[in-house]
Amino acid sequence: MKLIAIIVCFLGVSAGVPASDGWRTVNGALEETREVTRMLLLRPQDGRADAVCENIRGARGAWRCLAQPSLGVKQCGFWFQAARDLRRGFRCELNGGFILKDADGKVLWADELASWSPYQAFVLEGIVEKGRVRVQMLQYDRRTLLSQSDWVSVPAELTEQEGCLAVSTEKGVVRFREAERSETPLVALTDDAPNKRRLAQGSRSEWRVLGTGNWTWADAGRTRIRQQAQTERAWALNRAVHGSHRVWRCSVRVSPDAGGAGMLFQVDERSEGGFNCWLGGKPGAGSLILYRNGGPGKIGKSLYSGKPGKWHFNEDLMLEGETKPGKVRARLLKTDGKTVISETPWITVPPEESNRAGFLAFHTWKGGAEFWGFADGTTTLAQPSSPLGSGWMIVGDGDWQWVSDARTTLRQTAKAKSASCLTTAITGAKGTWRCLVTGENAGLLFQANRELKEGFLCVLGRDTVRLFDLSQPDQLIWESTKFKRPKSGACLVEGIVATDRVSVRLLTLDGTVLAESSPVWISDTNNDRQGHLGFAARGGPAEFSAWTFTPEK
Amino acid sequence: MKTSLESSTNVSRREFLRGAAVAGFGAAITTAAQRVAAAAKQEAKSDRKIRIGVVGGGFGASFQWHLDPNCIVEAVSDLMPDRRDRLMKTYKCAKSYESLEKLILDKNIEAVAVFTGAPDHVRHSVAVMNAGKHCITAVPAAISLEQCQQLIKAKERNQRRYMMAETSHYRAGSILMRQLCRDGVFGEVVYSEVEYYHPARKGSKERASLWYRDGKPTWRHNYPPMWYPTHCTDFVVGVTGERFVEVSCLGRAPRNDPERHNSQYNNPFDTQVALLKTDRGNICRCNRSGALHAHNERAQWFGETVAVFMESWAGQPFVVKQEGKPDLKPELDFMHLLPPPLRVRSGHGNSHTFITHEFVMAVIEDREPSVDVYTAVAETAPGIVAHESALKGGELLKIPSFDPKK
Repeated sequence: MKLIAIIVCFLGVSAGVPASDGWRTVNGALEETREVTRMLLLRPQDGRADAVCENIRGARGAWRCLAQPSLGVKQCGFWFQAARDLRRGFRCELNGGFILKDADGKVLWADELASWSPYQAFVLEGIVEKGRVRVQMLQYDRRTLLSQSDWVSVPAELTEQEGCLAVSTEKGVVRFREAERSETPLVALTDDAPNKRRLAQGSRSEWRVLGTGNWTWADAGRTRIRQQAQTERAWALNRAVHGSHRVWRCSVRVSPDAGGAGMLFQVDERSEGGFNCWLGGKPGAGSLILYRNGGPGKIGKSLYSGKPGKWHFNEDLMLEGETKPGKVRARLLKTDGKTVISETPWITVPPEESNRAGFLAFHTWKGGAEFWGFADGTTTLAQPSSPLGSGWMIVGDGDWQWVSDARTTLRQTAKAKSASCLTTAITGAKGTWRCLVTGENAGLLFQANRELKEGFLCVLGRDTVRLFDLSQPDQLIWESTKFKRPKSGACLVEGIVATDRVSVRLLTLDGTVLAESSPVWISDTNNDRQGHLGFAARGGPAEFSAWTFTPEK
Repeated sequence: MKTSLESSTNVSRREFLRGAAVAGFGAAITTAAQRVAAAAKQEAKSDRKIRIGVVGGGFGASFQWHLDPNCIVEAVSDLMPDRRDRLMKTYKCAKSYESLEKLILDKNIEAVAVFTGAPDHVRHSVAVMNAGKHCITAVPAAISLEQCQQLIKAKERNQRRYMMAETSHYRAGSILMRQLCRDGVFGEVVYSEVEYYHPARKGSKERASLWYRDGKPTWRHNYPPMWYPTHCTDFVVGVTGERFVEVSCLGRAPRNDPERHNSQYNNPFDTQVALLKTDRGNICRCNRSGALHAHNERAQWFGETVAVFMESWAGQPFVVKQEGKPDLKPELDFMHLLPPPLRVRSGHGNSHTFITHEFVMAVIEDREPSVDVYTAVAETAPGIVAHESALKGGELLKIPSFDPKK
């Protein structure tokens, strides 16, 4: 505390000193700081700091700056169209959420659920048109919208007066950069802003949220809901889906590190009563459990617990619950809606429980999950399953099939620009990834994620080998044009992921090395990142077999 | 090309930190406050592009010179043709030279990135600066105290920019820790624990890959662990601006590892643990090893009311612990400090893009880079002395200062 007191004492020296760039501190202190790039650092004195930039002036238009709050900040942000003495203007601030205020502190609009934390950087923007203002909060990339207000009507005389830009903070240091006024906002007004995607609540909404979760629509089409807060327990109840003695269905994907997630059915308006079809037990390798539902205010009771190892993180699955007079059961299925992974027997319950009509709800514990496929009253099937079967994902425009029932060789037959498939059954990080490839412009995907935005691809041409890092903008990280394909056309491809480096080897079936890259330095995020094995074909038919992954010892 | 902002208002991190070290935070902030008056712009954006030469096609191919909006790769070089080709492809550069000695004769090149083996860093850096070019080298800056002195003399004589490409400096945890210190949240770092473990055990593929090329030993073969200290020491020197002044170090000599015999460095150790004291009387424990079942480049810093723990291989998340307050586990992302083309994943905790841009902007803005020659040597020399201490059974030794006399 003594040290901070000394700092504040010295800061008094700079307060109110006019600067040639137009910055002037009203209170607190403004410093210049550098960490690769320059930033302005605003430090409070007596708990508050404001600094005005008289060089950034105007009336209508888009005013903005990047702000990075530090530890202890209670609220921070910027003023736009502000008077030099800050007695007039609008304030765009991060406080408990994201807020638009007038100069007197009156709240004109607020998104109380907008989340931010110290040391994250945001671009805050205020847009002024005649008789109205709006604000928005974006990621530092100046494109990704996080929260956005609608237009807020204000007296026209306020929006026509010239003002300047100012920055402010309370209780902690804030770093600012890129303060400016422009004619055009970074992002236009949209109905699809993340704050507008939150599950609406209130009497007019079909949704009711309980607990401390952050529930939003995961897609613009509003077909999938997502709970993304790392919170203890969260519920979202859908009052549009109601009934008894029926099949209740939804698809689910549990986020990594969540404790569990499930579908509640025949619950009351408080998400209590009814039943809970739950993915629980060991996180990431757990079991299907059927509970007599407790809910936010009550403790549930297990009616049946299945074998472990039946569900995994980031796996698309389907939950099904069903009641008939005096009976209830639950099933865990693959997303084809047919293949049963685990199921409870029909369990006898008192008729008043099984017969009771109620709503559909979703519940998460210690983490997030996505739910979808419930829109038409819980009978919608999820996306069609992969034609290659469980654990296989197809990406792009290929036509993939098994060569035989033994499922040891995969064939891609289409003239495909970009055909890929992945097996999620093989997961790993450092080690040797291997497969036998026949066909031109085809190759091995290794340590790849489902979106094919991370991981590596080694593609064999007629006389070239190319290694791509899917996370890099240019992607190509190594190339050899001296590769000679064996006469058989078949080539064993090895991708080797080591600490901070990746390399590839091409071998004949008898183990003769045809080509070998030296290690290429890559991001160390790959050292522990779990990815999958897969295949890619770029242009024509190809066959793949003998795939393995050997973890580094 | 120097703007008025650049020449008159630059308050470097080092200036701030050194000021804080000598006279407390208040004095440093006074300096900063006086200069704020002339802070004409928040960012001096320049269209100028420096023309750089890149030497060393192994690790040297893992930087982003071609993505930096203020940089053009003019030429590349490596003694090995395959590595030279790789550099040309990576940096989309049509010109190459067979050696550094030839590359530095190219008049179009104003800066050279040296990513050769550690024992060659000083020889190459001095040659680059003697040729009138700015220089960035891989770590460590040097492998002897004499080399440290040579490097500083070459820098001062030629008045070029010199930077050591220390990756720990731009790990997100380090950036945050510097902010916590500057913001006055942390106060004094009383004790720190820093460690760099990169296992290359006997018989492992990692050892085969790092220690040998074409069957011959590389410079990494049985290299003394403490001669590669900067991934550790930067967590103190690069965060608080302190200097290490004394060290006592113990080494562990493996008994059953024949590859370590006939060492080119006469190094008996595979693991070394040093205790260091700073010029402000604070203490640091520094671990270096290539033999342990551990994999880290990390630190944990302890103050009297705050402690910060970097994420670890063992599962420790990054956390700021403050007395009487809830833990803070921030999402560490400082990519916003970089121009958009450089906001890509890169090596050593995404530090390569930061190093790339810091060096480029130091040349553009005609200022010293963050890890300048004095910082580089202050991070390198403690390891050299620590190794000497370990050879003497842990004797407490003084670490010489290479900072300019005041």
